Amino acid sequence: MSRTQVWVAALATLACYSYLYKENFFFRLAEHTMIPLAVAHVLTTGWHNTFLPYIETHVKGKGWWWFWIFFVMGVLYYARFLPARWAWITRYPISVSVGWSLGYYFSLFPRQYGVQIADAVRDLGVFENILFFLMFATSMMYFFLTVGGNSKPFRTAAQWGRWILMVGFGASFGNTVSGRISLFLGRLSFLLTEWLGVAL
Amino acid sequence: MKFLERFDQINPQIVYLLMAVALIFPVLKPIGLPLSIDQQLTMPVYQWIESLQPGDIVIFDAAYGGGSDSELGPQLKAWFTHCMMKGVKVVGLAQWEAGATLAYNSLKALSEQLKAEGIPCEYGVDWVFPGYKAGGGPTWRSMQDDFWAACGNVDWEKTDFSQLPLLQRLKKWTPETVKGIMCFSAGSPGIPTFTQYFADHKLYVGDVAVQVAGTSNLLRSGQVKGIIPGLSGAAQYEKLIGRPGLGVKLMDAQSLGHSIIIILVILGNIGYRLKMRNTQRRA
Repeated sequence: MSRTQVWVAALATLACYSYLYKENFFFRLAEHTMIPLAVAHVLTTGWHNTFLPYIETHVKGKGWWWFWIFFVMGVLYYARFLPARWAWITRYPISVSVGWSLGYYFSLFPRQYGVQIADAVRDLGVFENILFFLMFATSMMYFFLTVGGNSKPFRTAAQWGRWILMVGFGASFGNTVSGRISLFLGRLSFLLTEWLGVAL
Repeated sequence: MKFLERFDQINPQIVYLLMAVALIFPVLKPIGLPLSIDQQLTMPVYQWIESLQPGDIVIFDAAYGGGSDSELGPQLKAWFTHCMMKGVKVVGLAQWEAGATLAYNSLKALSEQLKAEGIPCEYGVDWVFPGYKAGGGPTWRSMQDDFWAACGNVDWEKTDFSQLPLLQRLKKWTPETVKGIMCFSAGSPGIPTFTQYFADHKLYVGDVAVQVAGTSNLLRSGQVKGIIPGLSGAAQYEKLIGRPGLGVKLMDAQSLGHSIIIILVILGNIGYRLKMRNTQRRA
C-alpha cells in the first residue's frame, strides 16, 4: 500500500474505534463511507471476476449462448421495482432459483450429515464414544417437544441435554472471544507496523 | 461487600481501557508465555505436510475475506512456508473473490522473501494461483474432471496454463494427482464444498476461531483430518516449522486478553450474586 492509503486506512480504523468512547462525528463519517465503498467494491469485483470471466470462459470459449437466458432471468429480479401491473414477473426467477436450490441442497447435504450421524454411534465399546453418544442423545432429546411427554426420565435426560448444550455454547463463545481479539490484534499490528513503523 | 457488588455494573469504558492496555502492552513488550501445540488439531496438519514427498501437489482454498485475514493470513503464510521448505508444490484456489486477492498478494510478497532466503519458491514451478473461479459448487466439481477447462485455462493474472510448468501435471483433480486439500475457511462457501464433492480426498482446514467448535464435529467423524484453529493455531504452526512470526508475537496479547475477560466474568458474577442475595434479604 502507498503511504496515502496507509494513512487513510489508519485514520478510518481509529475513527471506527472512537465509538468505544462515545458516538461521534468521525465514527459516523467512517460508517457512512464504508457502506457505499463496500457496495462499489462488490459491484466492480463481481463485474471483473465473475461476469466477464463467465463470458470469456463459457459463452465465448465453449459456445454456451444459453447463459444469456439466465442473465435475463437475473435481470427480471428487478421487476419488483416496476409498477404493480408488472411486478409479478419477478416471481418467475424467484421460483426457478428456489426450486433449483432446494433440489441442489437436498441432493447433496444429507451426505455430509449422514457421515456425522453414523459416527455418533460408532464403536460403543470405548468409554469416550459412549460418553459422546449420551451427550448427543440427551442434546437431541432437549428438542423433542412432542415426544416423551411428562415422564420424569425423559425430562431429566432433556435437562442434562440442556446443560451439555450450554457447555457447547460456552465453548463456542470462548472461541468467538478469541476470534474478536484476533481481529483487533490484526488491526493493531497494522497500526503499529505499517502506520507507525514500529518493529514487532 | 458493597465494593464487590459494584462489579455487577462496571463502566464499559473502563473495560475497554483495561482490554486495550492488556492487548497493546504485550505486543510492544513480549512477555514470552509458553505456547503448547494442540496434538489433536494442529499437529495432524503439520504431520501431513511432513509426510509428503518433494514434488507432491497440494491445493489450498482461500475461502475468507478481509475480516478473517488477521487469523487466516498468518496460517496461510506458515503453511505455505512449510510446503516450500519441503519442496511440496502448491496450487491456490479461492471460493471467495476477496480471499483470492488477499491470498495472492500475501503469497507473492512471501515468495520473494523465501527466494531471498534460498528456499525455492518460483511461480509457475513451485506454486501457481488460478484463484477465484465463478460458478460455485458445480465449477469446483468440474475441476475434478477437467481442471484446465473449469478454470478457463488462465490463472489469476490471466497467464495461460500452458505457460505454467506445474500445471502440466494437473489436468484432473483426483486423489492421485493431488495429495490433499487445505481449506482456509471463514464461512460459506467453504468446507461443505469439499465434504460434498471431495469426500474421497484428504481435507485439512485452517479455521477462524469462531468456527472451530463446529468443525470439530467433522474432525471427529473423519471428514476433516486436521484443523489449524485461529490465530493460536497459526502461532503453533509457526513454532512447529521453527519460524516464529506474527502469530507467536501476538499470542501473549491473546492470553492476557482472555485472562482479563475471565477475571471480569468472575467478578461480575460475584457482584451479581451478592446483589441478588442482599435484595432477597431486604425483601
